[in-house]
Amino acid sequence: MARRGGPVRWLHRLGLNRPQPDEAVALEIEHHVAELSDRLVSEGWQPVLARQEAERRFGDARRYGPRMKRIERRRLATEQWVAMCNATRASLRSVARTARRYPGFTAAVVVTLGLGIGANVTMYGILDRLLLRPPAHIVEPDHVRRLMVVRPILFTGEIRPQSAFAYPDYEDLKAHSGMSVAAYEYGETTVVDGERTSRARTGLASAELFPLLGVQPLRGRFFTTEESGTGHPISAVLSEEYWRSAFGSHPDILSRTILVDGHRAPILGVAPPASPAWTCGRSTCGSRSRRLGPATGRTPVYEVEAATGWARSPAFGAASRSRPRRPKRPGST
Amino acid sequence: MHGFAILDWIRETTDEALVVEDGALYPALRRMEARGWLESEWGVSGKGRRARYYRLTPSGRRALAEQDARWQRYVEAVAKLAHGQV
Repeated sequence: MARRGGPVRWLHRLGLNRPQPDEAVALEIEHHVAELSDRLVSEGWQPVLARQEAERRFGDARRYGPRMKRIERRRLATEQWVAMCNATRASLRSVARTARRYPGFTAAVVVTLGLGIGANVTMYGILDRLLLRPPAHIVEPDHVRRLMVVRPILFTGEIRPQSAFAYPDYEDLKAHSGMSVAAYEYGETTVVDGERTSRARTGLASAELFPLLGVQPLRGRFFTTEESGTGHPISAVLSEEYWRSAFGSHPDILSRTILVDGHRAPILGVAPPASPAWTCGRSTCGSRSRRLGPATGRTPVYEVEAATGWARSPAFGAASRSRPRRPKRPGST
Repeated sequence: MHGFAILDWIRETTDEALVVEDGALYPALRRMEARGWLESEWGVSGKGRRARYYRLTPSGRRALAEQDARWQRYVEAVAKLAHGQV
């Protein structure tokens, strides 16, 4: 059977007009049946009967069709895979050739890529530590929140959530809100240890702070509730960084006393590295807040998501932990 | 050659001694192409219908030669057995 030449054939050669596997099978079967039918007609059959006879002679198309389709599909998949592998191999070979011929250019490309990727990775690492990752050692950081009070700002009268609490408000919260709350405050004061006097970042914390966060002491212990009460002399918990830099991680730290802002403070313990009180983070006014209801009867209090970091703020802040769903472990209030 | 023509050729060449059900040829053609013994191409027949044309590949030729050799050995063996019976 002669093939027709011309433009249509040329299109086929390019593979542009190629039918999909299922369609291809149907076309091939159809072609066969049509040819046979034509021949029967030329032998004297009636067209309709010729067609029927041709179909009969072909055999059960329902049996052959699916088999053909299956084989065809698998064959095409393999063909495509092989083509892709060959193309990739060819590309790699050409790249290797170019690299060998122009080593200077290749070096420049590698250095540029390295710098670009390295810079991005570093930036992401920094962002991750500062903003995205919750500080290490906090148990269930998504339950820890920083509390804000909605009240007018001192000079402008604008009403906005603020993180500064008065101590009596904090005590009210502790008593009435049904959550674990802790108070903290930070600043810089003069610390004297032995002969050295320096300014260090210090903070005040109520006894509930460390248990609320779930942090475990590296050495010694944290504050007890009596030590946190009024009238009791202050005691100190060192950060691991301070212990390392000022005392060289001396194991005998618990027997010492330091002077904080002129007051004697026996060292009770050491907090693990990167505890939240000593890192800076972002403040999170306004995002995802939920109204708790008037705890004090005076100003409504909002709970704001803040578990990823702590803003360095000189105001008296309060932190809370919402009631965990699991039974409480010892150490959390 | 396309499938229909192949069947015709088989029928003529063997003087109708070998009869294959028409439809059975096509899966076989697909399998042979999957094994790389044939390659196919879509084209337009003399009558203007789209048809799939098949061609033997070099590996197909080798496979043919191998099958042929095996068949010859088989035929000789059987002939020896048959004519050995006196």
